[in-house]
Parts: sequence; structure tokens; C-alpha cells
Amino acid sequence: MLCLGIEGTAHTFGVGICDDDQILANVMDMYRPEEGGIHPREASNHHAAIAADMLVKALDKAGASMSDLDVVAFSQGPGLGPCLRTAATAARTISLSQNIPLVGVNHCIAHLEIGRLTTQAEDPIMLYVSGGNTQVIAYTMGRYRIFGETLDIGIGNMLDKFGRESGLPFPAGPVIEKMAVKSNRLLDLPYSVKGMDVSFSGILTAALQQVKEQPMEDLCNTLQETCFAMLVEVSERAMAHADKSELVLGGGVARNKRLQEMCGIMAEERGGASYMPPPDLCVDNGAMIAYTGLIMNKAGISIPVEDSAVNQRFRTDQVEVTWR
Amino acid sequence: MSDIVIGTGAEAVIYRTSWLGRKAVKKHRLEKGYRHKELDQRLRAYRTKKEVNLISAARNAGICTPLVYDVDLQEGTITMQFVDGTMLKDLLRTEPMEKKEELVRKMAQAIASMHRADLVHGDLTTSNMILKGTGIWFIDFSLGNGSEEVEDKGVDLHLLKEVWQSSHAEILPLFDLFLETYKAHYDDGVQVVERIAEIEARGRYT
Repeated sequence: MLCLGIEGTAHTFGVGICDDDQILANVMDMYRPEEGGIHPREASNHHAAIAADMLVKALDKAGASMSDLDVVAFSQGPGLGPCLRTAATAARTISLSQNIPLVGVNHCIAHLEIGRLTTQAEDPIMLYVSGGNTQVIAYTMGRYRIFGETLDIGIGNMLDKFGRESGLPFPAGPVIEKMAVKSNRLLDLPYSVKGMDVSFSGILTAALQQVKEQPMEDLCNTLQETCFAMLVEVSERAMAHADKSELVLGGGVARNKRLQEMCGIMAEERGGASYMPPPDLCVDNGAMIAYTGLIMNKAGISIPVEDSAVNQRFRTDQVEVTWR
Repeated sequence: MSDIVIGTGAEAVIYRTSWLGRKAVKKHRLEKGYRHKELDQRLRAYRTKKEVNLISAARNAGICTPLVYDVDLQEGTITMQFVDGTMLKDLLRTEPMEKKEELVRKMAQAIASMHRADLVHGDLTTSNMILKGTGIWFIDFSLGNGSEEVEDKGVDLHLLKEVWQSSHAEILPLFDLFLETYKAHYDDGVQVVERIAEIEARGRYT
């Protein structure tokens, strides 16, 4: 069965096509602002402008035509309203014109499912870390439960904000990673784990206050060491509580090598293992939407266009996981 | 005498040991290989110190808690009195109704004293309450905090209620006895009990 998936939750517009568990195409284009962060309307304008070209490109890559598609899926949420609506509109159009079922996919669940497909993990917990999202997710009792999450901003967002306020280029994550490697110092920044949740606004403020006094490499190293440790701690607790020994990383921040290393060490100390999908399936992408939409549809899920409104606050645990 | 492991969590290992001839328990917060050495040291020392201070504060508020025999902040270990008794988790299943009611009243009085002293236990499960002699002893303050907030005390009781609903469903009516006794022993208890309903309403799972 051939499924086309459209991703459009934030700055990335992606189209993926998969045939059962084979990914045939995965194309994407990121909205890059001249300065500052993501303006939702500007980003959605970008998506609308390139959507048709992206669809054509993906179909070409897959060697398929629109009429070959059996199912179409889209990122229904969570994300930025205008961007979500652009992707949804494209998907609804395809569903109606081709008369094929439409599937609304939860973006966080898609990250997890593509992690399960492309790594050896069978029943992992997921540490999902991106600009907009930071969640520790595990499958128990029929749903993907959020064991822990950020109480304020996503870790990627925190790193970008730090970068923007201290003069680093956007996206700041990779720049911070490069600078962190040059230091082994640990400055005194607050560590904030509250129960199973984390919060980043405190450490962001504290780090910004020290930008004029401390070397940037030391600040970057401390930010990484502290924030990543917080995430790994919550992940470890989730693994202990849910009795799982595998961890899968997801989201753009998962491309950070130090975070990968820390997850690996923690998992191995517990007699388990940590996994990561290939980089272009870690970031927001259409292939994960296509794959997840397909497995959902095979379990009997689809939505009529009238019920396909996007949900900016779509919670991971709102979905009944009938396909596992 | 070599120590025997009696429990393992994500953060620490608990050993049975002895201290100057007394039955003891040693809690060791493990070094984590993924953390920067300094961060690891700092976190383990801070949490060890905090836990010990909470145990002392609870004891000063009149709660039965293990005596702390030794602390090593460098190693992240606490050596404390082994509480030789029976978990409430078991007694609330096996004892006759009169005895259960007595236990619930004592539990409520103790927790009321704790909250009156602005201490929050953080993990009020019936596995962390042990009947020794005539008193109920509280263990494992690792998730505890000093707090004046109605919210934090409400969360404390909310967890107990969830434990009650999942592990002691047959004596659910006794939770009302718990709440009445708690309110009778703590002036601000009414606000805390009212908060529980609000906290419950925030639950996301259907």
C-alpha cells in the first residue's frame, strides 16, 4: 500500500512516500528567516509557496503518480496553527481529488514510530527533543503516555533563544555543540528536574546573565551538560518505572552527539541500549508521517475531511494506539 | 559483615548493613557515568543532604523517622536505622477492620503533623509507612520538600489517594476517615483537602 505523508508543524515542510515499510521518498524544505525566530504566518506562506513543487518532487523520487496513492496522511498537531493548516489543506485536497482515505497523525507519535521502524528497538521509551517539543514517552496500557515533559519551553527553543540573545547564528544548537566541545568546565547553572518534568527557563535566564562574564565555550558546555543530564535523568526514571530497557531518540536536538553519548551510557549502565534513527528521519520529515499514517490506516483508522481540523495542542496520550 | 542489597531504584541502591551493632540501612546514590563529574558530585551531595535534613525536620515535627547514623556527602550515602516493623501496605490488607481504622487515624494524624510543619513527604505510598510498636514510621523522603503551599500538600495527599484507589480499593471508604482525621488535626487541612479535587480534575487519562 502506498501512502503519502505531509509534515508541516513548524519551519519544515516535508513530503514523504512509503510503500508498507519501505521509504520511497523523503523531501523537505525549511523556512529560514533572515533574523529572529519562526513567524507562524511567514512560515506558512513559505509552505504554501513550495507545497506543490514538494509533492511533485516526492512523487518523482518514488516513481509514482498521484493516482497510485492508496492513503494520504498529514501532521495534525501539535504545532503552529497556520503551518498545520497549510499541510492539512494540501492533504485534504489530495484525499478528495483522489478519493482516498485521509489520516491525521500526531507528530510526536510519528517520531516514535519511525524510530521503532528504523532502529532495532522493539519496545523503547522515546526521548523526543526538538525546538517545540520535549517529552519522554512510553507505551503502556494502549497509549503513548507522556512520562515527563518540559514545563515551559522545548530544549531546542531554549538553545535557540540563548543563541539569539547572545549573538550566535540561527540555528544555535549546532553552534553551541561545536563550542561546547572546546570546554570541560562546569559553571554554576541551575539544574531543574521537578518530579518527572523538566524546566528550562531558569537555566536560560541564568546563562544569559553570565554571557558577559564567562567564556562562551564554558557556557555552552555547561548548558549542554546540565540540560542533557536533566533529560537523561527523566528518561532513566521512565525506563525504571515502565520496565523498559531501550531508548530511542527523536527530534532535531537528537542530532547532538553529546546527548547521544549520554543516552548510550545511561542505557548501557542499565543493561539496555540507546538508538537513533538516521539524521534525516530525526528532524521533522514527511516520511515519518507517511509511515505512521499507513500503519494507522491498516489498523482501520481514517478521518472524514469534515473532522480533520488541526490541533495545535494535540497531546500524545489522546490517541488510542490500536495498531500495536 | 557484607552489605546485602534490599532495593534498587533509578537513582539509588539500598543495602542492609549494621552500624556499631545496630541494624541499619545504607542508601547509596549511584554515580552516573553520563554526567559531568562535577555535576554528578554536586547533585548527589545536594540530594543526600536534603534528604537527611528532611528526615531530621520530620522527626522534630514529631513524626517517627529512621535515626540517621552517618552521612557521606562525597559518596552520596546515608546510613540510618533499619525500621523493624510491618508495612502498612500489608497490614491494610490483613488486619481486622477495627485495627485498620486505628491505623488510618494514626496515619492521618502523622501526615497532618508533617503538613502543619510545612513538610511534604513527596511519596506517600503505604510501602513507605511502617508500623513499629505503636507508631507509624515514615521512610524515603527522597522526593520530599519543605513547602508552605496548599498545592504541594494537596499533591502529597492526591498521590496517597491514587495509591489507595489502586492498592487498597476494598477499603476506599476509609479514605474519608483519613481525610476527616487529617482535617481535625490541621487547621489549614480543609483547604488542602479541597485542592485534591482540583488536582484530580487536571488528569489527562480517560
